[in-house]
Amino acid sequence: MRVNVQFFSQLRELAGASELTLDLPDGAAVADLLRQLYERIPALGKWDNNILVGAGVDFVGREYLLQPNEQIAIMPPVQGG
Amino acid sequence: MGVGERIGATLPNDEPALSAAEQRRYSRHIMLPEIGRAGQERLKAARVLCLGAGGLGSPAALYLAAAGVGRIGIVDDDQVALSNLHRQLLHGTKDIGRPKTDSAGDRLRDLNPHLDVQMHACRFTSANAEEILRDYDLLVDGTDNFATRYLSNDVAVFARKPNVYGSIFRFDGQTTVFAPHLGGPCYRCLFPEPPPPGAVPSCAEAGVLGVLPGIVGTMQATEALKLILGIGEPLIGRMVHFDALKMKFREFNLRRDPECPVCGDHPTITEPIDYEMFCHGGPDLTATAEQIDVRELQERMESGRPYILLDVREPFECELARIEGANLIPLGELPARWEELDREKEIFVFCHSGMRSSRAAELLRAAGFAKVANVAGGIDAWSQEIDPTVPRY
Repeated sequence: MRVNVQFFSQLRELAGASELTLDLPDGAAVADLLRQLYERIPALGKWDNNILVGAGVDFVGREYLLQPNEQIAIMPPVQGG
Repeated sequence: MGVGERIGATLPNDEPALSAAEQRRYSRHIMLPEIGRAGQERLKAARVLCLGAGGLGSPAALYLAAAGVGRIGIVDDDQVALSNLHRQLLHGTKDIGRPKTDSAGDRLRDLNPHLDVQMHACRFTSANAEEILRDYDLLVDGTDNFATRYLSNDVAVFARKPNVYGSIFRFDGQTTVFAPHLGGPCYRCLFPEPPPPGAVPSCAEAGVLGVLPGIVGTMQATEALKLILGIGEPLIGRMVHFDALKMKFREFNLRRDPECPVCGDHPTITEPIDYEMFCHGGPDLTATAEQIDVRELQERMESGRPYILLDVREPFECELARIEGANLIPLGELPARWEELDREKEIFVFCHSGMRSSRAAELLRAAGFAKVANVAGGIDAWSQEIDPTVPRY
């Protein structure tokens, strides 16, 4: 299945794109998506402890099972004020 | 019970809380059925603490003052700088160099003389945070660093007071209300621990669209007013992400984490923590990396020993001014890119004035680079003392 991944804030620069599409096996979870993402963009791997993953309108855990064509948001913490 | 209901219950019944002048001032509020006279009195009885008088704190405090929030406190230990003025509307050109609490106090008292405006010209630390927050009903977090954001989150959770959160990066903003005691998550439910030092740039390092904190800060003020008044649907358990370039608002539902170290079922954090030494350029960070001034830098560069001159500023700053022969790796990219650096060579790290580079030097030391020195004063000192052809900015 394919899912669309969108990057927010400074992760856009690290990823070199604001979004991309990933091909994942059926039944894949958020953790599988992240693993594939880190292989493709190693710089993102260092953020693993500090990102939020949104699926549709919900922030979800790493165990969440992805749906085909789902919109996935990857969001870092932002500190500016 | 919402904070507004609690405040309302403390109002005296036997004397009018609003003077004739206040009734005229707030007449456009009072004519709203959702606010009315009772709601306006509730605002007058409310006490809001704004952390930071910067990009977010400026619009938040201005609108809360104009709205008639009876006591407004501001915590800030910074002075007004010229580069603040494109977004920090509490301060004017004549205020440059003044403590932000002074100029903010003047502006808020001029805007609304009926208020009790309290200025705390200090850092918000583990030593004073709970004591300062004690005199307020809710907190508006407009700070500019993770150390204070974690501290403000934790003390608001301990005190069971809502924390109206906002943060900004370049063209993006986030806002939500953290209030575990009202059923929502706290900041640590989302991000249990701060990111590694230097990984996330600040406004000073990354730049920011001036109007962006205006939008996010006024959203924070809106949520604070709604909480006080007990009206509408508070932004609890939801985060709004705003993208100014696309002019898009996106909303995400947040979940409280039962394993959260501060608001979870078995909390492990039960007293305030200072993350200063981990997160931001406090004095402890520079303790282990060598400090050299620009004259020492010049001597070492001419000594013939192999070295790397590492510029950790942003690319746009390089276009403004540069030192010949420097390698650019912006601080935010350093953790992903330090493998590019030769560990055998001496590394001299500089930025604009020495703050970011001190963090970079510390990061490199922590990553096992033995020969690292931070250039105190940065390219600004280089320009003044060594090479006046390098423009200052």
